[in-house]
Amino acid sequence: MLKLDIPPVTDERILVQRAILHDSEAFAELYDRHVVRVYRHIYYIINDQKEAEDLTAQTFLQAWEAIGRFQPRGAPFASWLLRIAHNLAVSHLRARKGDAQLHESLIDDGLPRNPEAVAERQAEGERVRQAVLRLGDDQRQVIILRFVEELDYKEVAEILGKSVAAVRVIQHRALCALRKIMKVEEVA
Amino acid sequence: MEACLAMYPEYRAELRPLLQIASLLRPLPPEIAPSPVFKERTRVQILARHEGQDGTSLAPDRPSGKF
Repeated sequence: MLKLDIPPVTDERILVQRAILHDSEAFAELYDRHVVRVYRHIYYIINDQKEAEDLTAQTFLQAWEAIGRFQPRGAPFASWLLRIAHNLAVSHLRARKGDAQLHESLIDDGLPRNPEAVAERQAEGERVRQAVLRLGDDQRQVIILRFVEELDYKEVAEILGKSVAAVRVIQHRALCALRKIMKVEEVA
Repeated sequence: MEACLAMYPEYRAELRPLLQIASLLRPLPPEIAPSPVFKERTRVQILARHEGQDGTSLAPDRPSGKF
């Protein structure tokens, strides 16, 4: 399981306040703290290393340009960054039509290497990934942080600035929404 | 999944489909990470952008309406 350090909230707030005042060293520190998470989030959506790097750079450059409009009392900085990353990644996906690549992680599932079973798992995994991309911001972020990044409820709550109870509720609703989306697709 | 369902037998019918969906969500392998070269290059780019070294400058008040 990958564990990414969650920065202390107080330090992060000070860094964000300094960044809003155009302190580039503070923003660079925020970049160091969040670049891996943002990259992995984008990679999950895009599934291409080079494109994920390009979009990660764009995310931070766009955030740096927009930092003056960031509301420190609203959603946490990480959540704001992930929203920018998601918007860029989805726009990129729309431009890149015919996205049919599959995740290596979907293949390496420890199950027997029956080609038909592997293909079926790949197809199921891809369907659920496409469904995740259709969730709203909160639900999508919770699902990716909980199941793709394998963070526990407390870690997700800290990143998103929510209570553990709220994260549990969002996760439940997100799983229900995924089920509904996938059922509708089956019928269609 | 069966162990989890056994813990909450009264919610079995409701939980099963949600656990099935959750089981399809595969974690990304830990080795998926940006390259050190990329990380350093982008860091330099961020600092340069602030100082206008790359020919552009920050425009914090420019309305984008996107975020």
